Formats: sequence, C-alpha cells, structure tokens
Amino acid sequence: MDEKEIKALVKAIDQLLGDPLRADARELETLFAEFGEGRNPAQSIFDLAARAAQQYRLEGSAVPAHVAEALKSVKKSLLGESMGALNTVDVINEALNPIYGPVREVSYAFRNRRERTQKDTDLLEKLSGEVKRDWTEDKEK
Amino acid sequence: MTSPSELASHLLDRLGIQGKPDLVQVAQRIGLRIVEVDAEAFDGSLVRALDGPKGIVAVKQSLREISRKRFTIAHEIGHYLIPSHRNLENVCTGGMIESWQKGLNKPELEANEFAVELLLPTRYVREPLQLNDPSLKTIGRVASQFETSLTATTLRFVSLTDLPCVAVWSEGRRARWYRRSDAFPFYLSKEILPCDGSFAYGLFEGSNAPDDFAEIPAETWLDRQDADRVVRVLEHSIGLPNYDAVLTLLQFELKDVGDEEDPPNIEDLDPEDFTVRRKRWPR
Repeated sequence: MDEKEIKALVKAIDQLLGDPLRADARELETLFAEFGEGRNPAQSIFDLAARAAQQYRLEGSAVPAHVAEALKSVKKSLLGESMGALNTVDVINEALNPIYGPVREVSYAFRNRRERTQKDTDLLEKLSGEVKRDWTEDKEK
Repeated sequence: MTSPSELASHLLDRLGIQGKPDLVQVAQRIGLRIVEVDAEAFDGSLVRALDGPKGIVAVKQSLREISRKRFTIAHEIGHYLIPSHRNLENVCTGGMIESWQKGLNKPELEANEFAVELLLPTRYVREPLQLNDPSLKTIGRVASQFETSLTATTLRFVSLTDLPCVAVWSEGRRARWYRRSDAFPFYLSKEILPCDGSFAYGLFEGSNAPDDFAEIPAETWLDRQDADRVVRVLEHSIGLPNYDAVLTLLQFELKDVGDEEDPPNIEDLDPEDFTVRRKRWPR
C-alpha cells in the first residue's frame, strides 16, 4: 500500500468514526472484527461503512453524511476514480441490495432537456418526491 | 468494464430467471418501481436516488404495443445499472429507444444493447431463432413468445447468426440504419437506399412484396464492386405502416475466395505503378 492509499484510508476511518470515544456504538463494535488477518484494510473499511449504512436504512433513518462520505471515498480507492471501473459482479451485488428508506437526493437532470414540457416536468417532479419517500412500510405490506 | 449485454446476462443469472423475464419482478429485486404515466414528450424516464439503488421507471401509458413498453422499461433498467450512466439526463424520447442509428449517443446505444439481452437472452433464443435458417416468420414467432418487437428480434438474429445477413430499417423512403452480421464483410450506402427495384422501395410505392425471401439483383443493395463478390442476394421486406417504415432482412451468398480471379503475376506488375511517376491510377 503506498503513502497516498494509506492517507486515503486514514481519512476514511476518520470520516467514518471521528473520535473513537464519540463514535456510534453500531459503528465501533464491528470495527475490530473487520480487521482480520489477511484482509484488505480498504475493503474492511468499505464493508464496515456499508454495514453501518445498511443498518441506518433498515431502521428507516437517513444515512449520516460522514458514513456516506466514507463509503464514497473508500469506494474510489478500491475501484479507481471512475465508476466505470466497477465489474459486473459488483454492479449486480449493489443493485440487489436496494434502499427502501428515505433518500435526500434524486437525479433531476431531466430539467435540462429540450423536449421537456411543463406537464412532463411536473410529472417527473412528483415521481422524484415518490423516490425520496420512505418505502419501508410499502415493502412490509 | 464488461459490456451492457454481459451485465444483463449476469443479472438474469443472479435472479435465476429462465426464458422470458418478468420485468416487474426484475425491477422489484433491484429497487425499482415501474409506473405508467400520461407523458407528453417522452416514452420512458428513470428517476433515481443518488444515494444508492432506488428509483422509478416511468413509461408512457399511451404506447400501443406491449413490446415497445417492455423495451422501454428494459432500456431504462439499463441506464439504472450501467455505472457510467449514473449522472445522465434520463428522459428518453421515442427516437432513442429501440433505434440503432449511429447518431445516437453511446449511452442510448448501450441501454438498447442491455435491453436486447435482457428481453431476448442469448441462451434462450439461439435455438428458436434457427440461426442457420433465416426467416422473418420464425423471428416473428420468437418475438411473440418473448413479447418483443419484430425489429428488436431481427437485430438479435443478426447479432447471433454465423450467416452473412443484414437488417435494414427504412423510414420515410430512406434507409435510416442497418445492422450486419459478423459474417457480412461489406458496407451499405444507406444514403441511397432502398434503391428502385428492391422490395423495400416497392412497399413505399404501395406495391406488394413477397411474403418470404426472394432473390433480387445484388446491385439493388450493394455497390458494383461488392455485388461482383456475391453469388446471390435474398430479400424479405415487411411494411410497418404505423411507423411509415419498412423492415428488411437480407441474406447473402458470398463467392468463395477461390472463385476470385487469380491475382496478377508478380512479373506483370509495372514497378512505376508504385512511384510518383505512375501513369495509370486506379479508379
């Protein structure tokens, strides 16, 4: 592991846990179990952050910004800068673990399209609100 | 990164889907909901969470053919899963979906490629498509079975067959795009196609066309040089009046390499032909 990778890893741990004394118990209790022998430390941090994020989602809470940021930065160091570097297995694995809880941001890029009409824009705005909504209860029905 | 069709194939494997996929089931497993909407200017749209896998595929309610609705949904699932599409503008108008024009941008072509493999999985269509016996009738039966359009299924055939074949889509009396099989070595001049004399041209003129493959002069579809290199050309064209379009499947019998004229003897070549002082230039 080179110096740049080590720095990125340290930053990710810092983002995820901050001061260990003030860390969330859910994040802390799995920390030591993650760093087993022979494991890639970046992968361990990624798995830890992913598990924490999943736990928040299962509880219907929004994923805290520091966990989301840690996930993002470790993913970059694991996969390179481009999302295009993801392989098929990773892409499908990620898709098969969808989010049901509320989300904060949705893709709004359709606003820039020339073909848009006001009616279509309103329609897509409404759908964006639906994506942001918590689907947990719908899933349980 | 693997290809969009490999991604679709892997998704079907992981979901244990055999044969025709149930798109609602596929969508549910990957955090997508499908809704039909009263859209004005788009056929399909993907509204997605930026935080992770969650989103809605909106499909235009008024699309008449179920095959087009299915293709639109599969196309949007492609945008959802292909990693490099995550930050795209994702409203897809009719001309982008189920079209293979070179003018389309790469993400749209990739989403189409994904959709074809998702809807017509290679492993399940190879046999029913009868890849060694081209026939739009057979292709039509597979299209009905998998609820896909004749066009998409014909392209699937062309992409899988080992025979020299070409599918041509003409609209408004002009060839808009074509797809050739790996075994077909020439290019078509689509700017001047379909030519007078082809069954496709006749359909635009209001004539009838044979309801199966029929032989046609090679120059009808190929330039003279390429036409000299084929034994015969078979054409089957079908009019699609709803689109003011004609779908054509061409099958070629190529001359064996051994049938070509013998190359000139090396002693017959004029050395000056390879210098700036050459007197005769090839036309």
